[in-house]
Amino acid sequence: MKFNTNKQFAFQKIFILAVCTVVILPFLALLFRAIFGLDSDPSVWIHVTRNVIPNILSNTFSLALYTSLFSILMGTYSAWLVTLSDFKYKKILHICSILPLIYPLYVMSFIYVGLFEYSAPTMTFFRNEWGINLKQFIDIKSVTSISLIFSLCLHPYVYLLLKQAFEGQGDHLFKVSRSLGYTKVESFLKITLPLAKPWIFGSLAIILMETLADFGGVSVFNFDTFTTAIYESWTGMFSFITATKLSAILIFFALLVLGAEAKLTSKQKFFIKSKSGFVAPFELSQLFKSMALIWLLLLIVTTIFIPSYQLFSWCKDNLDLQSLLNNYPYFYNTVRLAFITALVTTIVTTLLASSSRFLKSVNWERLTKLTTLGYAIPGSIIAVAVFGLFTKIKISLGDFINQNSFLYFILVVGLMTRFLSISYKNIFSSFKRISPNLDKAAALLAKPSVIIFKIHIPLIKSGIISGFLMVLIEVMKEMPMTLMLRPFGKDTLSVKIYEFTSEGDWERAAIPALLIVLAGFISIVIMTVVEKIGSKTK
Amino acid sequence: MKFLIPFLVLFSSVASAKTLTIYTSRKEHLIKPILDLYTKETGVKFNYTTNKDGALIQRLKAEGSSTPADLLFTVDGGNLWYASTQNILEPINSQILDKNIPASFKDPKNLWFAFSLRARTIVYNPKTVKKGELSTYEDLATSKWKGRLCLRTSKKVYNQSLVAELIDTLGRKKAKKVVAGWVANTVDIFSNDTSAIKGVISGQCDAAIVNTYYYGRLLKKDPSIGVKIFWPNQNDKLGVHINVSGAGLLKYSKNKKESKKFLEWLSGGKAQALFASLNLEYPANPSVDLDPLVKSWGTFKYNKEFNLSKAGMLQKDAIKLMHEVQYK
Repeated sequence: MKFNTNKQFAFQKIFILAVCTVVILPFLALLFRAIFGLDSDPSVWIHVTRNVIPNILSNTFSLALYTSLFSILMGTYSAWLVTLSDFKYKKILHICSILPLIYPLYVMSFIYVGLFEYSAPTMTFFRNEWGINLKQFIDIKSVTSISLIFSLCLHPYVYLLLKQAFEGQGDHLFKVSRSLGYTKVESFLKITLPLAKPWIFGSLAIILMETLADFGGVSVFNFDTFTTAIYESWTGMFSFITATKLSAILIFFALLVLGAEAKLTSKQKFFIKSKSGFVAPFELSQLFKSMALIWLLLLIVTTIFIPSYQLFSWCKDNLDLQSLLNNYPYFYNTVRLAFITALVTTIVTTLLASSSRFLKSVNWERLTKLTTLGYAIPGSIIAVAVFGLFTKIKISLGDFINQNSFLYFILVVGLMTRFLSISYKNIFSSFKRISPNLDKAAALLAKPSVIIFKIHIPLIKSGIISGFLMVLIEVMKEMPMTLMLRPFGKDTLSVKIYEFTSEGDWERAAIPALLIVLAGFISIVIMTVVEKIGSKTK
Repeated sequence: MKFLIPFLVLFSSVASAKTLTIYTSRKEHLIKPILDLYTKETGVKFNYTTNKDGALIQRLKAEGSSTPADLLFTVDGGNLWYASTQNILEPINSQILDKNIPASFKDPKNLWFAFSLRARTIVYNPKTVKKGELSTYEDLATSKWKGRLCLRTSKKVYNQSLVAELIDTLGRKKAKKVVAGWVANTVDIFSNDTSAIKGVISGQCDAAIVNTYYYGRLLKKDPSIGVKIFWPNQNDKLGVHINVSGAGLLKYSKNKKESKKFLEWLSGGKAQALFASLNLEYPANPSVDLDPLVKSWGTFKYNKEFNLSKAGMLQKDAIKLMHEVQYK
């Protein structure tokens, strides 16, 4: 390993190391326990390797495969339509392509299970009125259905990153390749798409990690994956060591994903020299126009119409001012927690990104990349790891810290660990667009701190803001970690949803779910407005 | 610096006197009215946090003597048993609790006490199930129920406890055959009891094994659901499977006297009636009247010699058994 070890940029190095320590140490402690921890009953692990792992391996693998496949297809198609075609309803499509971000996976899952279960009103209607048993055609608990529903929620990550990639490329390369005799399709496949590879792999990594870490969604479908097995061996078979061993396997997968992503994207460096005027080069034929229109309608129906219909029909009997007021404290707690976490995460990531940029070393960059590991680890496991470690530190310091403040602190640290990846993607990819020549020129004139505040931050402002808002949305949706680490009296909306859905009480869960969706929607609106202002000022 | 403000506010609000802290897996809406009633009567206030049992117990272990918690409330005998093995609970010697709570619903060493009972029984559709067709849990495994059964996931502790009791009463081999039979007869496996009952209502299946209060909730919302309750195994040792929701005093509680007092109060008539009726459960104190709706389902027999600690002890084996027969 060759690190840039000269004394220059000491602050940057210390900062990267410090963040790495905070983020990685809980995992190391966890891995240590997985390997060396004494299990009071080793038979559980043996049982799990024989009877559980084969099944969850194939389940997790197929779910990850299908979900990434569907998400990439959906996200790329939307991004292509919005940036590179002359599709008439681009603006609506753009909004519909990011809107699904507001749904937590577990909410979307219980909406669709509620809709397509045998006993659901719609299914009953089809059976009674027309004698059609839809269940024969739609098995909502099959891996294909689950992946499709997950992709509905996750494909915006692909869309957003690819849109950024397509737009950032400008169309000068496209024009060059056209003038050299490539057809439009050839140019797209051979120039545009390959150039967008880092963004494709980047979003693929997000999708994979999100799928690996999901617990709430899969448990609604009763679909066994690593996370459900971790939970079962921990709480059912009382073997925390087995749970840590299974988590270790999951961490290994996450490292594989990160490693592959780093390898596939490392050699590609590019930056925009000039922002050329972008003219959509694809004129859609009638057939393609109708296809695009069908896709748009599908998105509207599946991600706006169906979820809102279902949520409203669940809570129509008890949706009044009083119940909204009752939920207000949870709404406030949710937004506050999300705001604080997003702020901390964004500051940390911005400093990380600029530090690693100053160091210009592959190894430092890899180390920085490691801080994004938390995204693939189930929230409850991070919670246990962070809680165990920091409680030890707290006790050894003399235990004078107020319990509630302490919990709030580690909750924010834990959430940051989990979602650093999201702001990392946004902020690092914006950084990649700043030409290194600019740094070189600036370095002759100013200190690093000046470069950060006067040059980097203004240039990547929109990346920072969209990163901030995406972390905000993610934290509002997060359930397992918040459930475990929230201080007394700081229940959030997702905690309420957990309490109701775990009892199958969809009607009561619908109001907090609606409020999360609403808060997410407002964030999305802010995000698009900021983007618009950003693009206008350019 | 703005983020420090909430911390400062919290610092000032926590230091009030006579506050008990509860870690509970019983949901807020099922516990808060009780706590509010106690606060009204005695002035003692409560802090509580809800979570899953495993997470709460892990948290207590990590916190050790520094824990702010006084009491642990859980929703299953297995979890109470597990907590009792983790050296976090302290025995309570109380004549009031001993008098109010029967022996099979408390820990042999007084580490925990049940405060409500939950019966896991069979609900069925009287239009498709003939009179006399239902008899025992074991019978649901026979081929006449092929394609007629709805089950909840094996990951839910209620099913784990039920299978644990089957293992204890029938022996592992027989229990395994029974559970395998259920799986073979099942049309769908649900993530919660409510959906399983809805399966019966809509005709997807004819019978399901569920806790009575889920049935009660649906019945309260819509009295015309047309599904009935059946008490199995009334002529043998097994009887209806009973689970509990209970509590224990934490070893490192700083308010042991107050906590004990609260639990004693909780075992008494007024609290018991409210505690159980909030969720249409059965009170653990047998002298307390049932909620009218619960009463209308009639009485049933259960195995009084089966202590729920045993269900906890056998829970691991029950899960292994369910894995072996592919009960998802």
